[in-house]
Parts: sequence; structure tokens; C-alpha cells
Amino acid sequence: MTSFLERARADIGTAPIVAVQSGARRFQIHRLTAVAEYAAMDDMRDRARAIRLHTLANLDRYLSQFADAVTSNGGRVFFAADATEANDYITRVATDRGVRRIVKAKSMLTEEIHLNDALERHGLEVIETDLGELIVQLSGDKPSHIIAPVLHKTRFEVGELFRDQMDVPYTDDPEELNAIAREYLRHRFLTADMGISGVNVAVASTGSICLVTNEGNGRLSTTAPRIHIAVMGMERIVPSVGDLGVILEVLARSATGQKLSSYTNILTGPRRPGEPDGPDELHVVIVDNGRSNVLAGSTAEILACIRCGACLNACPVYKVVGGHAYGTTYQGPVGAALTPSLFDLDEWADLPYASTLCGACLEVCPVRIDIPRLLLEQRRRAVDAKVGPMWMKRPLQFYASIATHPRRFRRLLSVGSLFGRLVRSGWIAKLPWRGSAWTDTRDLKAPGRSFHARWRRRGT
Amino acid sequence: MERDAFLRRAAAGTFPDAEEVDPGALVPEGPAGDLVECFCDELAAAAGTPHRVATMDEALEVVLELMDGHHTFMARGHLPVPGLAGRLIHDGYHIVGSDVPKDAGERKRHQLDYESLEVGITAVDGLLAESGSIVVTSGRESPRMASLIPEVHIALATTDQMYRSLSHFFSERPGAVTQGSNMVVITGPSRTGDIEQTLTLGVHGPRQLHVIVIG
Amino acid sequence: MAQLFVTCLVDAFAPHVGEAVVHLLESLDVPVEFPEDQTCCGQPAFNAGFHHEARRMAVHTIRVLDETEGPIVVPSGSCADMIIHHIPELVADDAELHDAASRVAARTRELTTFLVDDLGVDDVGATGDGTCTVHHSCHGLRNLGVKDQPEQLIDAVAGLQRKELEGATECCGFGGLFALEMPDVSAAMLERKLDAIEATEADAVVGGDISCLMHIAGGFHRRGSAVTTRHIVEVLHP
Repeated sequence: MTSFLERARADIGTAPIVAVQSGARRFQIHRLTAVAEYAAMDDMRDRARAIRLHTLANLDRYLSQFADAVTSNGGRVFFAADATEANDYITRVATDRGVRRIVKAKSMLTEEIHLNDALERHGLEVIETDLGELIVQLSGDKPSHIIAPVLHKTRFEVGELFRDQMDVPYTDDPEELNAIAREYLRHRFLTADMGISGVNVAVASTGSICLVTNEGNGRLSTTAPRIHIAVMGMERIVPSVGDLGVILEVLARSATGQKLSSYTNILTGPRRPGEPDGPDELHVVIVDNGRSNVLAGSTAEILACIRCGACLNACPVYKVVGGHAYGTTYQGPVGAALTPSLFDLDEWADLPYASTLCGACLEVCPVRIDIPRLLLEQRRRAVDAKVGPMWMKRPLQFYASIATHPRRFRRLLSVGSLFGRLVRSGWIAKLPWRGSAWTDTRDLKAPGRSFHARWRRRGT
Repeated sequence: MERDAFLRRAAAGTFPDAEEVDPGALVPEGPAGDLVECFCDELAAAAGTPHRVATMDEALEVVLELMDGHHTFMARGHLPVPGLAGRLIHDGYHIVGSDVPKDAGERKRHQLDYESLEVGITAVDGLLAESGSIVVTSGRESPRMASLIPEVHIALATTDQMYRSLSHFFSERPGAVTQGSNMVVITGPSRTGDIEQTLTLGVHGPRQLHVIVIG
Repeated sequence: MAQLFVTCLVDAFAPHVGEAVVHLLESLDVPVEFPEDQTCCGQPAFNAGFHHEARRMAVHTIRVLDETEGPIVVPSGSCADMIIHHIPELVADDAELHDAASRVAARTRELTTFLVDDLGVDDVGATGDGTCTVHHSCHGLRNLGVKDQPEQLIDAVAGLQRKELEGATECCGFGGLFALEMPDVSAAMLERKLDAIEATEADAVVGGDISCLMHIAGGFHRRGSAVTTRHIVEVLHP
């Protein structure tokens, strides 16, 4: 498997990454404007954090309450321990109910569990309806941002893609591309047998699920087909409607700078008697797939995340490497903090090191997750499991044995300054071994007579 | 996985700093001043079109103007302007049925009619001043599709349906969320910025959102 | 009286900065002591996930500093942050050490906060010329609230004009061992920072952390740029 650094190297400086960067910056600016206009933002963020932590601390109680409420609303609940159980259940419902065509609203969780692959293996037609996800699907690509999947694509690329895949004349005008997508998907929405969505936030007391979108595909996918399957991460829940309100007030503002997205859609059970439309069946699939491991561990706080993407937009590392470098569903700071606990530590141990711990993510997180602290914890886990940057162990052990003995330390300083004096220009342009990682792109000022030595000279 | 086993997994977290009791909602001050004006400004900023009228008759006039050039509409349920649907039918507009059959095949056939649906007219359950949003609930006789499928959505509201913000709405109307199977808070037309961050309207939902505020 | 915790990078690579701190504080009638047994706070090891090694250095640092009295002045936001926020956690398993660590943490002050917030001084009587721009190092900025203090201090330097830096609060890409572990990423972030500094057309970039400054200076020197890189204390007492 490739490393973060290898993937990053391939992408840094390329046109798609420049596009991702300017997209992320735009989100950053919009967020700042929205926050500046909303006097209650700080208090709401404090409250949102409190709500999420309280919920996670009592997750079993709230999931139980939620499941009962969904059932009494006429919906069905399935508890999926892992991706296989979730995919099997959904596939079974589809085949039992004679489903052939499925429309999907955007859901990162369904990407995480590779739901589309499982459904397609059973001969089911799965159509992504979020415009960005549709583009990703048609081009066989992967998303580059958790809420804006095709930040990395140009309109020219999309024009060519639509021409080739949808058999329409070429255009690169976004309005026209939009119209093409609308046309292409409309018929498919209206004739689909099943709609699959994620869940932004579930509400325990009412058994409601809330979907937050701008396009309307979330609503159409969950209204037109007769069966709606909502796939929900087990941690994506709050106790009450009032709590939902707090989350909603901080979510869109943090993600895109909107006060609310175009559609904040709250579904409570399938269509009721007397209602003209809506799905006749609602299934909520509650998925674990590693989340309970995270919950039981030292990085549990990351489960408070409401998937706004603000941390990506703020992250100086994300902005130079883009989303693909992370190599996995969850990108940026949240991805780096979550993935080594959600999946295998040894496969993903380098992600937490893809950070300078600058703290920009914590600064913008609507639920105030201390991501830098979590990244440090992931690094500790990695080193303890011997899958961190173990080349550092010997040098750091050496340094520690010097730095715990003052005379040795002063001697090291004099040795350093001796070498430094050999460098005529005062600048080192080439260091051996790992040091070349510095000098490949930077010079290093040569050490002179240390402060320790100068202080001694000075007398006291 | 079996429910109890799953719930046991869900009990695994310890959060020493977590609060014992659900902290619940925080309802901030919300916008001051003329809420209707605030609502109209915010709706316009979200690319929607506000219309302020004093009477039901004026509201009807606005609807007739907006219908001009279109042919089909969906309007069901208890609209604040009495006799509206009847008047439109009388004027030659074709009303599209909103009752979706349960049978799978009939459902699809019925919904294919929606491809020609141009205008949807609905009532609202609330207006949110802070964000220029409207709250639309499905319920008996209120189709979800009316505010979703057509290019044009016309929402009819009265000024006494105003709330300061979403938080205020949830606080003052706790039962609204569950009174139907669907409550949607709509803030402007459908939109996307997915292609090169260029904002385009009317992706899958309506391209135009008109809110007629009566009173 | 203040204790100087000079930091290992200043000690080895920018000792004149340590000297400037001493001269500056003495000029403000604050006598300075330098506990000679100090070495390194353990931050590089800690940040890299090597807690065992970090703890050894942290314990040594605690012991050396706890024997002294008075404020502990640190010309580095990241090292001050380490001592204040992380060292006590590292030794939380040992009550006696934890108490000592907490005492030390409570006395530790990043240099500019010591000057502006504790001594109440923003004009130290320095003079300068030309133009400069300020880079805000991340740990000091976000973990210790160091932002206004450096700007106030520089604005009071007669003859020196400060220019605003676009993206002043964006990370320069040093990140400790990150610079070696993720070199291409570090270099790409550095490029952005260097470009932003050059765009101000300032003569110098000033900051509070030698770590960032070595990285920035190293980049400018490689570019052959005329922009000089200064620790803020050099500007306050040249």
C-alpha cells in the first residue's frame, strides 16, 4: 500500500490540487463571514460539543430510544456490526422487494462500506444523484473533499465526461451542465424502486432522521421511490429536537457559510395514512464498522464530528495535498484522527503525522473537537505499536540520554559549534541521511558558539 | 447483529467531561427589528423571491402573475388563499394529481406525470426570519412533491407564522417535527457549487422559490 | 527576577537571541538567571509520539526549573506551550512530579506575553528602520493566545514600519520532525509562506519562534532572497 507521503508527492502542485485549495479557501472565507454575523456562534459551539459528548457517553440508551421510536413510527431498524452485515441487509431488502433501480443521495458512510459495489454485484443499478458524486461515479474517480467531492475537477473535464457518458453534446458551461444532470436524473428518480441516503443527524426521542442538502437530490431520493433506506453511523445522533436545532445552527455555517442549507429535511417514519406521497417503507441501518472500537478507546472524542468539512478547509496540509492523498474515505484532520482507530492502525499510522499540529482545525470545529490532541494520541499509539516513524527511536533515545545529563548536553553543543565553524559560509546546503529531507529544499544555519558557552564566558 | 449485543458495544464510551443530563437547546436572541423585513432580505440573499402583500386578493393576483407562461400545477392541502386551486383550474391551468398509489408499477406511472409539472403551490408551517427559510410539513393532503419536483415553488404564508430562527421554531413548536412524516426547512431554491464552485440554481429541486407573505 | 529557559534550538542555532533576551530584560530592570542544567523540554520527541523519551527530558526540565524561583521566560511559543500544557500531563502518573510540573507550568511565560501582559510594557525603547512583517507561530498563537503582543511591541519600535502579512496565521510548515517526516508537504507549505512574505515587500520577517524562523530563513537563503529573518527579541533590542 502506498504511503501518505507518496500519494501527496504525486499530487502537490498539480492543477487539481490548486483547484481544491482555492475551493477550500472559498469555504473558509464564507465560514468566517457567517460566523462574524452570528453573535451566538461561540455559545452554540460550546452547547453543540456538550450535546455530542453527553450523547456519546450514553449512546446505548439513545440508540435504544431511537430504534423504538423508528419502529413505532412504522419504520424498520437493522443493527449492522460491520460493512458486510449492512450491505447484506440492504441487498436482501432490495432483492426481496423486486428492486432493480436505486437512487442514492450522498453518504460518506456508504462509501466507507463500499455499498455500491455490493449492490452492483447483485445486478442492481445504483445511480449517484448528488451532482459531485454522480461525476465521481461516472468517471470512476474518488472524492477529494468530504462535502464537495469534485473540487479537483474542471468544468471542461465534466463537459467531456457528460458528453461521453450521457450521450449529450459537449458543453462546459456550468448552468448547462447542471441542466443536463437534472434532465438525466429526473426520470431516474421518478422510476427508481429504492432510495438510499445517509443520515446527518438522528433524533432519539422522535425517531427522526435529518438530511442536510442543497441540491434537492436528498429529498427526491427519499420521496419518489417506494422504499427508503437510511444508512446511519451509530454515533450520528442527538437526544431531542432542541439538540438537533443546535447542531443545525452550527453545521451549515461551518461547512459552507450558509445559515442553513437549501434543504434541511427531517423524516419521521415512512408515509403515514392520508399522506399523498413519500416512501411506503423506511429502513434505518445503524452501522458500527469499527466505531465502537473508537468509542472504547482513547480517541473517542472524534466521534462527536458532524461532518461539516471546516477542518479540511482550515488545514494548511490539506490545502497543499488535497483529499486523495489521505487514501481513504475520511480526509483532512478528522480523517487523520479517526482512521487509525476506525480501521487498522498499522495501515494508517502515517496519517496522524500528516500535520504540524498547528491547531487551525480545533479553531474552526463546530463541536470543538481537540483534533491536535487526538493526533498526538494517535502518534503515541503508533509508536507504542511500533508502526510509527521508528527510524526516530534511536536518535531520540540518544538525544534523551544527552538531554538528561547537562554536561553531556553542553558537550554536544560544543561539538555542534565545532562542526558549524567548519562551514565557511555559515550555511549548510547538504546534510546526509535523513538530514537531506531538510536540505533538499532549505538551507540550515550552521550552529555557532552555543548560548550555554556564551553564558559561561559572560560570568555571572 | 442482535440488538442487545449492538447496544452493549454502544455503551463502551467513557467521557469524564460529559454532562450527566442532556444539555438541550440553546435559543439565542435572534434578529431584532422588523422580522418580516428581515425575512424578505434573507430570502432574497438566498436567491429566493419574497412578495409582500396585504390581503388574500393581492396574494391571488401574485399567484396568477407567476402562473403566466406555465401550464401545470400541483396544489393540495389547506392553502391560506381559499379557492385558489379552483380559480387556477377555472383559468385553464392543469392540476397534476398528488396522490401516489401504493402499487409499485402504478406509482412509477403516476410519478412520470411529474416530469411535466411546472409549478407547485404550498402553504407553510412557519417562516424563519434569521435565515429567510420556510418550514413545510407534509401531512394529510400536503404532498412533499409540490415543493420539490417543479421548477417553480410558490409558498403562501401569513405574517403571524413568523419565527425568529430555526432554534426559536423548534422551541416554540416542539410538535411540528413529528406532525407528519416529513418536515423540510427550505432556504432558497435548489443549488450546487460542485462544478468549479460556480453557483447554479435549480439542480434537482425548484429553480425558483417565491414566498408570498400576507399580512 | 526571571529565569531564562532558552530552548535547545536557540541554544544551538541562535544563541544571539538568548543574549538579546538577557539584555532586553536587564534593560527593563528584570535581572535574569540562567539555570545552567537546562537542556530540552522534550517537545520534538513528544510531538513525534515518543512519550518515553519525551518524559525523560520533561522530568529533567521539571527538576531543573522547580529549584528556581520567579517567572520562567521562554523565547518560544511552542516550548512554552509544551511546558505549560503537555509536561504536566506527561508526568500525571506521579503525584510529586505532577505537582512540581504544575508549579513550573504556572510560572512559565512566553516572552512577549511576559513583556506586554506581565510587565505591562509595549514600548521597550527600541529603534529601527525599514519595514517588517510578522509571522504568527501556531502554538503560541492558538494555544497561548500570542497575537497582539508581538504586534504591539513592534508597532512601538520607532522608525520600524510593520506591514500586514496575508495568511499571517497560516502554518509555515515546520511542525518539528514533520519537516523531516513529510518533507515535500513541509516544502510546499513553506513556499506559500515565503511567497506571502515576499508579497509584502517588507525588508524582514519577524516571529516569536526560532523553529519557524530557521525553516523560513533556510528557505529564503536557498532562494537567494534579500529578506532577513529575525526573532522578535532581536528587533526589540538589536
